Amino acid sequence: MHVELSFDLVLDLHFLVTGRFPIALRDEIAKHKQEIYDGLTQDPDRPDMLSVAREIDAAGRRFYVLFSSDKHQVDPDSDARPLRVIDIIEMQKK
Amino acid sequence: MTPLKSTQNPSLNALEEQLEFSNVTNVREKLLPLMDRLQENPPLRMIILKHGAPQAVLMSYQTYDTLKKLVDTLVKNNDALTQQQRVDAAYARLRAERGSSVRPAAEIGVNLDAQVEAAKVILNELQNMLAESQTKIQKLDRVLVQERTVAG
Repeated sequence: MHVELSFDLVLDLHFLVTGRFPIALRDEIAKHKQEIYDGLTQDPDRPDMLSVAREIDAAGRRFYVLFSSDKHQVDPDSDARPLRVIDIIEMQKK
Repeated sequence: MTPLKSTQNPSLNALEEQLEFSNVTNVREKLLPLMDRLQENPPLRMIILKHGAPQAVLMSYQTYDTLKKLVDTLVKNNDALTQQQRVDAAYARLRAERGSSVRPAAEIGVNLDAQVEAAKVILNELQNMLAESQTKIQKLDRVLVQERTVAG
């Protein structure tokens, strides 16, 4: 099984166009995608989604990152498991 | 330069309507005429390939300016939302992808048509290299024949 990571369109804009989020954060998320996927649980508000949130440090900054996987987009015949980054919020680093 | 034929789904491939492919060497040699073409035809975009893979895009300043305004509008609209609205919108976009065998072009960089065109550019380069090699071999053959004649 391999995890297919993708980012919401607006987040991609912030990574690749506005520069609001550092590319290092993208790399950090990609590095841990398997363990993040393994930590997904049933989203209490959305029956069709699994979700998990993580605090991730990158480029000396801390971010709250919300991940989800759409149960309807899992192809049982494929080895790929989709993981979408839904939202990112920069936090005050303690 | 390899023009790409327009595809069936205009909404998905809006940015690929007037797309051409070129390699770095070609762009380096023909940058000024290319810039003239962009001035004459602002929707034209040139994907620059390095070792056959897409690396950069050359576009008119008008196109860039329009895209910049579009991004600014999207970002401003998104920033005006509450966090809950933002998350709901992201989930709506995720659900909208269900059942689609074609992934958004932005996710994969270029679509299948674009990959075929990129392969054609590489094939063209290989053919040129092969032709050059054949010419060199023919020259070497001639030199060899001359040397043998002199030695004989």
